[in-house]
Amino acid sequence: MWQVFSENWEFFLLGTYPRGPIGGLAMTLIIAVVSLAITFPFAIGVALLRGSKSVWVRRACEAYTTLIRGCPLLMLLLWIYFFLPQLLGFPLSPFTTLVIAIVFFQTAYLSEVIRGGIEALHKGQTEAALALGLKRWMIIWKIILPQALYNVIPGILNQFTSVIKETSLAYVIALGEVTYSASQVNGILMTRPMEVYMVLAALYFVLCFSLTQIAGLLDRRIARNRSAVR
Amino acid sequence: MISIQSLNKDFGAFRALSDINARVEKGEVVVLCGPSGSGKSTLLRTLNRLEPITTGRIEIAGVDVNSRGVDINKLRQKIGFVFQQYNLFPHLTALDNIVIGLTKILKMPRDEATKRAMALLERVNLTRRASNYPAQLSGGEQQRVAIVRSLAFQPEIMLFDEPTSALDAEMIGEVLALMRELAATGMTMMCVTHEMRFAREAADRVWLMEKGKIIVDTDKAAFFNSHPNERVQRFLSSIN
Repeated sequence: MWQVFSENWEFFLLGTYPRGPIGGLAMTLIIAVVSLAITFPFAIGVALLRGSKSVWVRRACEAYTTLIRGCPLLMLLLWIYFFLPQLLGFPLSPFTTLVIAIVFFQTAYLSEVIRGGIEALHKGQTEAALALGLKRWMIIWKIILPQALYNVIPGILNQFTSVIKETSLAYVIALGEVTYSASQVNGILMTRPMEVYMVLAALYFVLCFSLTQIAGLLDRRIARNRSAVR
Repeated sequence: MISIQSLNKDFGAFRALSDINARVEKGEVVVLCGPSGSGKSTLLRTLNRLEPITTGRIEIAGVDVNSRGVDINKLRQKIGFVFQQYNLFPHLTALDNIVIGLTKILKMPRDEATKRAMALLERVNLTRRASNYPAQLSGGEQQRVAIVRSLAFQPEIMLFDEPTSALDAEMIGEVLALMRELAATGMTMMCVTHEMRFAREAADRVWLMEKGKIIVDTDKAAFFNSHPNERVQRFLSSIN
């Protein structure tokens, strides 16, 4: 297994870069970071709209999260891959296709995490801000969101590990990230699939394990800070 | 300054406030007391519209609090409100808890806001705590910061909702001292409290509430010196 990695590490980590396009684990990380960065503001938006005064807005957001949570990402990816270019009238790169799918999918989950953070806040925070005369959006922006997001940092990190695993679906639309790299290495070596896919597993494990460790650490620290408040 | 007319407030089928009629004059200090669940806090919270009312009318400095046209945020700046649980913003320092309102609501430049906030912290001997977060302050310190946070807007009325109920015994004194000092400056104040010490020393009037009604509205001397109403006697003996 070590031999397979040491002989092909550049391909596992970077794909054909610098001779060709960047790929491998680097691509996996790029997809995950870009997707999460776009997901984040959308998720905040949906989380806030679920507390909207309008029943219809609340219902629409609820319908969206329920629907998305009831369908597999792979199906969503195929829909976007085949239907969206027809609707738009121009082709989408595999990268864009995957990012759109993940953003659409993860917004539903991440908004639930953030909503949990908002609802966990003591209602006295809003009341104190109202009593001072702060406007609604100012209360959300300056009082509610900073506290809610801080409290759900571990949840957001855990969601990030999910995104990393989901990027492996890039394989089905021939986008060269780390799973795709592994299958190519396997195709060249032909005889050592076991070792190749053990390397792949190890790469995912190291990445996700370190993220969950950080999340756990932050979770304990945040819990400590919170108990100090009251 | 405050006028309440035929005020009713329902929570579903439960009538929390029932036909309240009362007035508070400028500079008066009114203590609201009564058994828990009698509607004291609810009454206080209707005054700055934290709690919407069912029927009736509340006027603060001539403004109908519940009319559609009223700029409620503007009105709330004139009415300081102090909570039992202090409700400081835990993600902001003591100083920033005061500054945020001044810069975001009054649009004051930051250095001017900081100056005013520091002056207020000095007034309550907490300048050395300016950069501490609420979690690092004692309950009494938090409540004093909460009080000057409201004072930063130079309000005309201060409302206190059981300001000392969450405090350890040794911290109650420092908060009551600040409130007495405030009363002495001629601030119009209403205070829900079980601290009869404060009522004896600083109140002008006492309202005794029971089952959503004000059953006694009298001046302090009459309240504490053998008031003829037997419910006053029962209340006083129940808390002593």
